[in-house]
Amino acid sequence: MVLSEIQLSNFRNHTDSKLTFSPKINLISGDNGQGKTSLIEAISYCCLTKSIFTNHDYEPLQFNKTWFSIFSTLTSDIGFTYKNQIRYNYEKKEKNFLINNLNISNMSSAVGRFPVVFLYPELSSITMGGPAERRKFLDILLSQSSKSYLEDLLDYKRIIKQRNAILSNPETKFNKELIEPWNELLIKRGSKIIHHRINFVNDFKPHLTKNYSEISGFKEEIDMEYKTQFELSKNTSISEIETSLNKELIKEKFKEAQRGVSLVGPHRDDLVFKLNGHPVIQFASQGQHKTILITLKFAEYSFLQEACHETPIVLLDDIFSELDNLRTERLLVKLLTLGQTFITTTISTESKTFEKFGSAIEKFIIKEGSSFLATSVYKE
Amino acid sequence: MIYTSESFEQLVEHFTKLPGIGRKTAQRLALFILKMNHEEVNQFATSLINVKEKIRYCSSCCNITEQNPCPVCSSTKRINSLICVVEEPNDLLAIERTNDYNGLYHVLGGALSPLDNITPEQLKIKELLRRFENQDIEEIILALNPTIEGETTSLYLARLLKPLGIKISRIARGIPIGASLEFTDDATLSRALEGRVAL
Repeated sequence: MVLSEIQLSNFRNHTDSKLTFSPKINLISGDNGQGKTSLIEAISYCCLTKSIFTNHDYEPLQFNKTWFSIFSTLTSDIGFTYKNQIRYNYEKKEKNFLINNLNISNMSSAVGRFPVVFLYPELSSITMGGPAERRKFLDILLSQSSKSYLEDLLDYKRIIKQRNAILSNPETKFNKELIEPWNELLIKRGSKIIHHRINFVNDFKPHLTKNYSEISGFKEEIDMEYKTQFELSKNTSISEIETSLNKELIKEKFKEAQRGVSLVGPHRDDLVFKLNGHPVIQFASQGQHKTILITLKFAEYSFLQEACHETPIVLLDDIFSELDNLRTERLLVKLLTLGQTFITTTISTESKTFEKFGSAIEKFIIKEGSSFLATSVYKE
Repeated sequence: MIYTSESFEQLVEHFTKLPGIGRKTAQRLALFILKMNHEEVNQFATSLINVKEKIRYCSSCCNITEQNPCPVCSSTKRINSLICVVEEPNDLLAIERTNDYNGLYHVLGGALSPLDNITPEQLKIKELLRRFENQDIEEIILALNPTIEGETTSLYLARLLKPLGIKISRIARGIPIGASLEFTDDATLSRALEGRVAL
């Protein structure tokens, strides 16, 4: 997938911006607060129908404006052109996603058609933060690669909400007849989700190991493991997970009623990264964390490419900030082997680091929401 | 408001209480009423009152009706041992339109949803159980909506009715007639695969 053109109106500080991109690396340079990240956000809208930074569509809306829109032209690997358009109207609280002028009423149906891999500083919480961040990583990735997973996940979230409503109500929390049908559904959807996640981890592992040795150059062995609340056999089946979930629900029955929330199920699971057999979250250095995170994204890229049969677009927001020149260069060399990439940075486009790459990197300068091709700026 | 009359505003106010009607639509409806002739408005008003005064819930199936028991329940041509459980009267009408069902019904009046404080007491479940005392029921068909809430209600009822030793089934879900597999959404397709039928 290649994004050749984008046009933003009233989006963050872009009142009216139009840009044409290179199919390889696009370097977006500029000072703080000029609208670099907004551009990344806009691209995420075109591919995922929503922002990767916020769940509220009114946030990117420019001050004092009632609507924003984003037009984009994307070309798939086999050469088909898509004109994707996002329109958001604040007064009508209306959001439209159009592909080739056709309104897509079910937005989730568009997810996965335009695969994206993104990395921004806050995502360091995937390796450093709590389990919720890692589940989110799993969910976003799996939802892009499997529709049935997304449907199950949405169902599951609803089940947990309804179940919590029973558990938090003193009058109903001990009512067996009332909670049991919800348990049955929780087990049904929950086991499918767990099974899906375990299979995913097994499929994802080879991508992770391969990329880690290439990027870090270290000999350490990286591993990842899906951790449920109970022991499962190696090639577990849905029915085994169902039985285990059922047992766990019986075991935690009183604790759940006491605390008033659902304590059993995939919404409590974790993904554990290990280096040489040690959990990363406790032992890894800052540098190792960063390397693992970048590796994770490269692995995500090759995994999505396989699962969606389409080359993902790579969005990298401010990733050079903690890397020395040598590592930046190495990363750029590796990025050149991928498809289309967008990188924002505060490093000047004239920096020596980028000079070596010549025309392989298309450079843009963003200033107060307006953008110029770096080369055209030189001419002036 | 100074530009309209009080009675007009009152009517608009009443229309906005209806589901799916906003202020603008309410104003349009009120203006339309104003343009209708006197007799039509009279009939309209009477039918509103009639609906409230004459319509009762059938003491047996809990469907809306003017006579008790309702025409379905009192019909001699229907199979008395078969009951189809639905959420709302609309669902009953939908099944009736098929002309393929010849049993009785039971209208629950919704589906279980703890978030909206809808518990089994709010639904006509007690009424359903009471029917087993006076009637010889052999089979129950659960025809609830394919939502999480509908599914849970089906499970709840299945657990409740199982000890009675009757046949309990749920309507199939899957690919609509006339649609092609290619254009069926993934969730429907995967549920259809789950509920496949042996040949």
